[in-house]
Amino acid sequence: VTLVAFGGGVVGLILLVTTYIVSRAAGTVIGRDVAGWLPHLSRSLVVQAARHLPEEHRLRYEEEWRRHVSEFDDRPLTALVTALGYAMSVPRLGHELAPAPKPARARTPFRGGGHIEGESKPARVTARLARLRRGSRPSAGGSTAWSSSVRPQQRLVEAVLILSAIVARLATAPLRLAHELMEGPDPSQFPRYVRRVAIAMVVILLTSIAFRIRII
Amino acid sequence: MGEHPQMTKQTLSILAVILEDPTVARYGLELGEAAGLKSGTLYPALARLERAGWLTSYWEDVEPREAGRPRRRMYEITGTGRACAQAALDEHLAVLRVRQPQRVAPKVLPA
Repeated sequence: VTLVAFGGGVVGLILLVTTYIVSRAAGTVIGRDVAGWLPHLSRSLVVQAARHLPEEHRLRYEEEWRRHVSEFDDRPLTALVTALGYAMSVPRLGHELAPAPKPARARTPFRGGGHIEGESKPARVTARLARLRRGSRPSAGGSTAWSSSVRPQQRLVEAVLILSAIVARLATAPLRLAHELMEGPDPSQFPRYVRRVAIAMVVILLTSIAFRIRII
Repeated sequence: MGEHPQMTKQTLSILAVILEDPTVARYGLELGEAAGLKSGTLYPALARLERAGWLTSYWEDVEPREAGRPRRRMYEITGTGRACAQAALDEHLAVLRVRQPQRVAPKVLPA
């Protein structure tokens, strides 16, 4: 049993070292490539974003943002995140830059459905505000459905926690593989070993790319 | 001169940074970093203040080759903006003193 465990351990070690070397080399090559085209992507994103602004402001913001993004040439991922921020701000910025709207004409009172008979408009607004404060929808009927009752910040925290758990599970795949091999390789579990090696390769590959484009 | 801009947390942060030294013109990225704002929230707030006439902006007068960097769009507070921004910040602090006194440093009374 000791000999089998030792043999399994040695095989696992060789497998891990090989996986590391191959994945690291591939990650370096791919990372270099990604780092090469990220600045171009950031600039394109900024140009495309500025095109959605009112015409008289496009050139100014395009130039301003391109210059900002070019200040992060040595940090391509930061440049991309900054460019994404600009792209995401376009609807709000467009709203700020748009000419003031003409005063609305007096409209006839709303006669559509969607409200309780006899309920006045201020009461409807108050009820809607109260529902928003509670974070629920009227049709939910007190349901605590994740999508309707959880605040956006909570969702973000939960998403980060779930993502971290997945990443941790993936990152420990090589260790679990080594552990299983040390306990004695089982030929019937071969597909599982292959899966673990593949996961380990992906983890190391992604880490190498992350190092290359300076996320880490 | 535009209408009074909406005083959001972001707008107040930008004004607070600018009022630290109102004579200094700053560029967008610098303002964003100092105010702790992301690129996505900075420009709508700057546009709002510019539209209200509180800020003006102009292209920096430098030669990019000599400066070793691209020229920047500088933002500067106007005279009206300075007075209005100070008033807005004072008003905000007064409200905070009442609602969340623990978050505001106590007022220093003259001796």
